[in-house]
Amino acid sequence: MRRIKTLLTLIYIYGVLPLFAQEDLLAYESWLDSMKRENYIAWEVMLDDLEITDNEKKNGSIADHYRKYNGRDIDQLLHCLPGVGMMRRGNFAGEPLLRGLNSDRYVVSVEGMRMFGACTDKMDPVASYIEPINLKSIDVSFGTQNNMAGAGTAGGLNFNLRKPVFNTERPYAASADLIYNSVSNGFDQSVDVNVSKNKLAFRLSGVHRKAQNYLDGNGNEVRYSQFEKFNYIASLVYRVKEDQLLSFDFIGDDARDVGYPALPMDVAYAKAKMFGLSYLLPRIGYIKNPEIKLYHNFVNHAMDDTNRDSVVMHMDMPGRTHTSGGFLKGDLFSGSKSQLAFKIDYFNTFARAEMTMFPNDSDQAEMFMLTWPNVRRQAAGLSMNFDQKMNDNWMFTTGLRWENTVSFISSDFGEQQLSVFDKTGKSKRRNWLQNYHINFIWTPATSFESTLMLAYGERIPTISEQFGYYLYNVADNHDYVGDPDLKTEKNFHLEVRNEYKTSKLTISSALFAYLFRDYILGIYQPEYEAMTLGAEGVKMYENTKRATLFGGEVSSRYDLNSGSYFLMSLKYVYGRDFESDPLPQIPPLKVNLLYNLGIHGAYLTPEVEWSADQNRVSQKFNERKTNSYWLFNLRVNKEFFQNKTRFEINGGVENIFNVAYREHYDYGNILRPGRNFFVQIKVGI
Amino acid sequence: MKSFKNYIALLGLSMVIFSCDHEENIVPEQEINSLQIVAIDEEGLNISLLAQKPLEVGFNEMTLSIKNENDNPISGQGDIVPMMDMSTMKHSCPIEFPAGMELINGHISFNTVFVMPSGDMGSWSLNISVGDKIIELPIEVAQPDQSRMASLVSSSEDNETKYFICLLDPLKPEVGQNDLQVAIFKKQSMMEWPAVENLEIKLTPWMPSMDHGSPNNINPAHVKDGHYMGKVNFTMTGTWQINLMLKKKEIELGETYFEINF
Repeated sequence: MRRIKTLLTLIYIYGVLPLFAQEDLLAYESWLDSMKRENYIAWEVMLDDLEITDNEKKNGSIADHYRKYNGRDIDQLLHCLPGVGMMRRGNFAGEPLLRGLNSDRYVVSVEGMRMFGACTDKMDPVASYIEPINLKSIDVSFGTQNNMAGAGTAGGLNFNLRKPVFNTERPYAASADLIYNSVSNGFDQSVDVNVSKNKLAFRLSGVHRKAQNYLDGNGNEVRYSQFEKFNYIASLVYRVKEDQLLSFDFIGDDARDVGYPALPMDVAYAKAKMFGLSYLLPRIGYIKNPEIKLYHNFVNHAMDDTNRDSVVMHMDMPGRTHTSGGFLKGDLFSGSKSQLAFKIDYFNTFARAEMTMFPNDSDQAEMFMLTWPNVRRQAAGLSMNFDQKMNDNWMFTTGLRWENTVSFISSDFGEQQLSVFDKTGKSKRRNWLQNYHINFIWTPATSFESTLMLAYGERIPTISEQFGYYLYNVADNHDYVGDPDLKTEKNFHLEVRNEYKTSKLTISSALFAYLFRDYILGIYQPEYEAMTLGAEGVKMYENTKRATLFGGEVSSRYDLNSGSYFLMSLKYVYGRDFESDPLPQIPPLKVNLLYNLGIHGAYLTPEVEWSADQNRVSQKFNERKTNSYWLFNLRVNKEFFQNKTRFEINGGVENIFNVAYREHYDYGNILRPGRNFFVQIKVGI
Repeated sequence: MKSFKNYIALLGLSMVIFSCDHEENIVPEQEINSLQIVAIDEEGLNISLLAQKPLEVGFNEMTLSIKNENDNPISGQGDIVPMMDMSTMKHSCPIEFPAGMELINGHISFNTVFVMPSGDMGSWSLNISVGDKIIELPIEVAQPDQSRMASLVSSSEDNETKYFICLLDPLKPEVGQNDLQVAIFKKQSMMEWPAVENLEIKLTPWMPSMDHGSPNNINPAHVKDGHYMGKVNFTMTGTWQINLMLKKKEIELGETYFEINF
């Protein structure tokens, strides 16, 4: 059975590497299918040329051009997606927001591999360790729909990596990519090599990015917004038998001297390594299309304030996480009308972060605390999804996930710290997490489809929410303390999706409601004093009675005969907390409209982006109102072949009128980049 | 017993292996009053003074061991008066006998709060009375790097009394919750230094370099013989001040602090 049709799929065409030969398609398609079996993904953004073969997905997709123009870095790419926003602390490593909810609430994974950033201040969301050139697709799910990803209450982000290509006709393929951004005087370079030999194919890629301080819309240099990073990947696929594949992925990422203008500290280095080994075969006993995967990853992160001018007190804040896990997924049966898929997964993770402060007065001793006191977590889950086609007009899908988690700290020092709050972290907290969903899909005509989704899910508190110790949040100027005894957070998720689709016009809409119970939120504690110099007070994470979010996305594409098209997207979220006050960092209404004009094989794309005021601000979070803004961008794209070499040139100007603006959810009072001229040249052989 | 020791050693080893930096829990190894401070033979008695550590200004736990010429322990009533001889004057200091003043098996335990160091100003001795004999035992009292003894003079409302506050616990401060014990005495005359039992104490830990305190402290309350017990919390390592505000009924007697580093 094909994937559930209700799911909106975005296709981005990358197309530097040539297509692989026809005889290899079958093995590869089964590979891809098995990789995509995680259903209920709201948006799947295809980034790879492999998907060109899949005509069904290619036609009528809503945003298949973004990859060309907005795929220069991962932040830009994610920013374009419906329902996604990028919260910034600087010019690097944005934190994706899914319908206004941050990474505390959703599950992040790389090819199903769970991973956790190592910075207590969230300077390194997992997305920052991924480069678009290495991505095949991004799965974005919302709410409690995607039970296969893990236990989250706001959805999930999964990054699928590009795989080496088996190509008997062209055993060697390579591409190179050069990008320049004027606003930050930044150069990005990448190379990508694919080699295939009989049963073995491998892919190597390397990316280097370096940017200086950028200029905001007022022409001011935003100090401490520079960054430099290297990313390197080695993927290897070995065809054990005709229909059995063994695959190994390694990703290394090494960022240095990254500035965070919105935060009081920068980053000396952030290093991540990921290892994944998977085995795909057609059958094990009753299990069809199983995939077995084992993985390990670790992150080392060091905050640094030695480059700042006016530091009251220098601090060292290193952090690290490592995570290991594995899963088995497959189909128990899969027929033309019904399918039962399952996944069993396990991971354990370790997180430690510390803080040493050096007083200016040398008579005073160094101060030390563990901000993540050797936190250990294990989770084992079982997910099942069942799809049944009733008749030509109706089908339903239903699923569940049960997850058992254990969380504790293994540091005596951390335990002593917690005694201040009369808490213990060493006793193991166990949680049973449950997730259920049922979707009814009605297809009265081939051009129209309507889906009603009902879902319930739970999550455990994050490491910071449960065990964080005086973590300073610059956004509301408070220190945050975790509570080991937090309960799980629950979300009842209701959603209605409609899609109207003809050969020329596609309109998709989603309307959702999240009804949270025991919503985890930092609550001001008047009796406690802030630790951080200058902070206003202490907030402790608590299970607040409820929180409610409503909103929706609408996107539309209209194709003209000439190959030109219009794209429109709109997103809106309304959130309120347990006292019916606005939730913090909720994005305002946003509309995006572009026209992609094809002229002689080139494309000219004017784009306008409008964001409304955000006047619903959280006073508890010290939020200010944010003004509306208009942005205008103009991009051009041209592809051509010379002999067998393929060239692609992108260029354009973003924020043409040099508007000084910030997104409501951005940290600090830092403005986003002003006018930017960019050029990108890709060469593929 | 040997296997038990092995077990302890193994446990210790495993703690070393499995603990990371800054996590070592230092287990106090000190045996109480094992350090010989001074010993003399006088008037047919062999007297040795044992303490936990070299004597210093503040609270000192000590034991006197008294034997006769034949090396047999002495028993009976004993008394000890610490004495500071400043040549122009003499004064004593607070002393307490937690187990009574009886010599048991040749031993008598006592605690003394030395209010000043010995040196150019004068010299300390213990005047020991056993039976009909009085022996003067000279001792050295040092000024520690970090003072665990403070004093304050109250206002005229309280007759300008001089109070001596000494910090007993935490002996080895750690991050987290620590027992806090202070003992408070006043100087009634040169020779009378009674315990003060009727005070209220307000505790405020403070980190001077960061300008913050810590939450959930418990003010020390009187337990016995001028000893007050409470809880003090340290949220991190570093230099902390333990600020104590003393009150008697509604009268504020004054404020003092101890500085500790760990």
